[in-house]
Amino acid sequence: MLPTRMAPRRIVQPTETCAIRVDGEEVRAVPGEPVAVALAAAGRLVLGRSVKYHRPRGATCYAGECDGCLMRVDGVSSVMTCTLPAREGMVLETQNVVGSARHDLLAATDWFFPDGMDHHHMFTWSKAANRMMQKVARRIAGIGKLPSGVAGPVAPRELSCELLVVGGGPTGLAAAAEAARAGLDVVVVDEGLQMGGHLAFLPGDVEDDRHGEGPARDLARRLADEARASGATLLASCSAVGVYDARNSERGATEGAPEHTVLAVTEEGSLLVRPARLVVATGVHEGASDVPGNDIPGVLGVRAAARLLAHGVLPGERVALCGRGHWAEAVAGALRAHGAQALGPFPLESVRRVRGRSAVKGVDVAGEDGAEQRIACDAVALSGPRSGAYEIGVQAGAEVRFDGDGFVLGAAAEDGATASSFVRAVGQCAGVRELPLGLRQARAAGRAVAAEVRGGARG
Amino acid sequence: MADKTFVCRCEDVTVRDVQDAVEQGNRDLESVKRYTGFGTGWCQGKQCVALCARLLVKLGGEPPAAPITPRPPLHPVPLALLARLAEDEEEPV
Amino acid sequence: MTGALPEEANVVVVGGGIMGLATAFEMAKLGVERIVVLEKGYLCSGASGRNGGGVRAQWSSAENIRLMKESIRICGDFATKMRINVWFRQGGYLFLARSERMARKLEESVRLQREHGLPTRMVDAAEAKKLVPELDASRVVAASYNPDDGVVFPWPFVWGYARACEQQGIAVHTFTEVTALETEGRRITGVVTPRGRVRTPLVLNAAGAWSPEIARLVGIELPNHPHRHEICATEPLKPFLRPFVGDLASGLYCSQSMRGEIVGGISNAKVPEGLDQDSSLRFLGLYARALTRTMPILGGVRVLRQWSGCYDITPDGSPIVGHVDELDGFVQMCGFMGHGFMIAPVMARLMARYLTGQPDAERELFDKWNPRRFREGRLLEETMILG
Repeated sequence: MLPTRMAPRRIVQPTETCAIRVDGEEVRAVPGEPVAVALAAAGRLVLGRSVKYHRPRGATCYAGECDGCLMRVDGVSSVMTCTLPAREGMVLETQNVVGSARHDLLAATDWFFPDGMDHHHMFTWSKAANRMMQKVARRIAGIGKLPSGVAGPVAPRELSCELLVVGGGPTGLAAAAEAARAGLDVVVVDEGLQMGGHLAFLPGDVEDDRHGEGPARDLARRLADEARASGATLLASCSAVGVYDARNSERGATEGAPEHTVLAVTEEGSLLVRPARLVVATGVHEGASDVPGNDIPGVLGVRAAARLLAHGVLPGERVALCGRGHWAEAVAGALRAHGAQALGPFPLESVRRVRGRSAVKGVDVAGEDGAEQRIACDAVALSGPRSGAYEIGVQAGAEVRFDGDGFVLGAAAEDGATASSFVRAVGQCAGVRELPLGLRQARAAGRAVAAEVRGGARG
Repeated sequence: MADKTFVCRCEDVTVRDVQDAVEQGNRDLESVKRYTGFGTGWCQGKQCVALCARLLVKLGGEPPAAPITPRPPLHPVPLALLARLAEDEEEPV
Repeated sequence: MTGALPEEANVVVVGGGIMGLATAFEMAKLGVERIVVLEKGYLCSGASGRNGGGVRAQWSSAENIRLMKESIRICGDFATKMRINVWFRQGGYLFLARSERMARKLEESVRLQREHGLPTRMVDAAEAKKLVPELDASRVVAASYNPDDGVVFPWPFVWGYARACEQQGIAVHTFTEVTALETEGRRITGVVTPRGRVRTPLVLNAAGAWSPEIARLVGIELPNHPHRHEICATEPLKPFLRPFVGDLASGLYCSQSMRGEIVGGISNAKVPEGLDQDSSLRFLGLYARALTRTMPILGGVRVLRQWSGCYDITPDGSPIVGHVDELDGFVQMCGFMGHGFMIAPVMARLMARYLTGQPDAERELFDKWNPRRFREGRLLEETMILG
């Protein structure tokens, strides 16, 4: 068996661990921590193989937004291990490999097609060749396998509230706190294992709208406490997955009933929420950056690096920070504080390629004179342009626009009002990048919703 | 050998695939999505839509008026959790 | 295609879906010059880019059986002839009957299909389970199976025709909506778009669910109407499901795509008619219930995305094809009931021959399917419609 120890290691030694099994081998995890974090801490960065070229792949976001951490867990295919709490006895299996995650026979596909695969036109020169190609293509298609057991149907739970806030980051919590304080029945859903969004993982200080500078994690906690104390219900590990027009979607949809149904899901079941109003505080997607080799295990988003650090896991001993900004600086500081080397930050445009295959070996960076410099490292934290997480807002009726970096919801800077009276969008998903401004906007949105709903405006 | 640059990891779509799609006459985000398959995999575009939009502009296209249609569910949902959503209606035989 | 619209054309095809593109291509092959195809969105934006890709010859009417058999043949040659992969996979179609009544209906259709030379056969629950091991056979009374039926990936099929059109010199203009039709007396003389007008003596209405709107531009009320039909895809799984599985009672159908996704849909009777491409929770509920009852092991499989397109529904389940009596030069090619995609390759050939006055064995279909049958009360019947 190959050595599985790679770059990451724990910087905080856990007091309690549990055993999970990965392809037959035991890995120690901290109960409740995301499984993907436990795997990283155990040096297991290659979690699967990519769909077409069978390239080694690993987690890049640790936030439930990419496919990098998918594994078969307890007989169910394609489980996102970055949002799955570790439990004693879990059985994990690598997917889409012929052989093992480290040595997949089909990895040869990547070498056969160095310039990529023109799947629309390949093998169209002969019927026999085409038929053969299709047979092979079908055989190797797909990622997961059928589940090993039958999952019986689960009835949805109905959840009534006046305001549903999607996103339990700082702005979502602030909006919820204000609306709940004004007497509204408020529910906040967040797909993460805890409230606070990315802010809960940001090392160092941030400025908020009320207290000035302070530790980011304290602010995240304080906002969650404030929302809870105001009477809002906070549901973690709960993803809002769709906003539907209730009129043509619903059982029992009647005249005068709420016009929208939000479908949310947890591990146990689905929730049907019919709020009078929706506040979208979904933040930004970290998103891919176009650097050659950007899929090599060990290349991760800067916010993902921060998440590993917050879980007490060092992403690498020599981490190249590519791309600038507050997060890159904060992560660099945290890395150094733990005795690791933070290289850069290098402007993203100057990064020529990431070197490595199953693990990061280095980055090539162009200096100001254009000369390339080879820099050895064992992890790369990318911080590229970001896009608002516009999906829920668009489904709910808000407008969306391209801002050069990505897409942002069209919302009033002062109170998040959108083209639809049903939905307000606040914070980064609405293009408000500064936290104090986002918090102010969110609080105003919460108050405005309360006034509308309590004031008898159209529900 | 230059290594591949991925815009969409879920479906293994590279920057080069997007360039080819544009050369083949696909000039809008929805068409490039269909031609390359970006945004049709596990994450449904969370990681790649913005990058593809930026690439399209870089390749001479108009800035997109909108992203690809965000289709529900935004996170994959097991069929078992959906199978009792329409209980008022009997299944015809 | 970008660039200016031509001022004049011999034919303007309204609708750049598979029907319009394939017909334009077939006309060009028969020597028709100066053909223009106008598509209001991007290629694949309508039903041609939203359907499940099924191609089957298991039908209940003789003409559909005959035509679809030919479509299957065209699909088999498409990749190498048009030089684009459409991933046609002949895994067969398995139609399930859950009642004696439905089983008898299937038997009747199978008899007709066999008369037309199809290898379709009735199978019992045990054999159905052999074909689809994941099936809950206890709920199956009987099934019909044609191993030649199959599935394509719709998008490249459309691109294949579009590229072939351009190679034939046909001007295919996307993002070009037809906003008016020009007439002189009882003759059509041109089409108007925001990008300019094209003079033409012949307009082919291949706008699918939008075809009634096109006809309305000249005051003609077609009897077809749009109806939302929803569909969804699961996470990609390693191949396990060979045939396309359909259930005519609930309208459930599903197949495994070449990428491994389970793609399928179901009837949703409560959808009001209209040009609506929204997604609904009700659909997810109906589909998930029917699918997990049919194949219980799929309960743990995840839905990746849902979308919808519009069926183009006629009162008698048969298409609307041919000239209208009210206006010369205005030809209909619509009302294909959600199976326009699979019939398009063969229908396009027939239409091209019809419009160029070539003799054809199927010529009588143009009388049978002409829209005047609705006025004259000569309705037809096709019952094997899914969804």
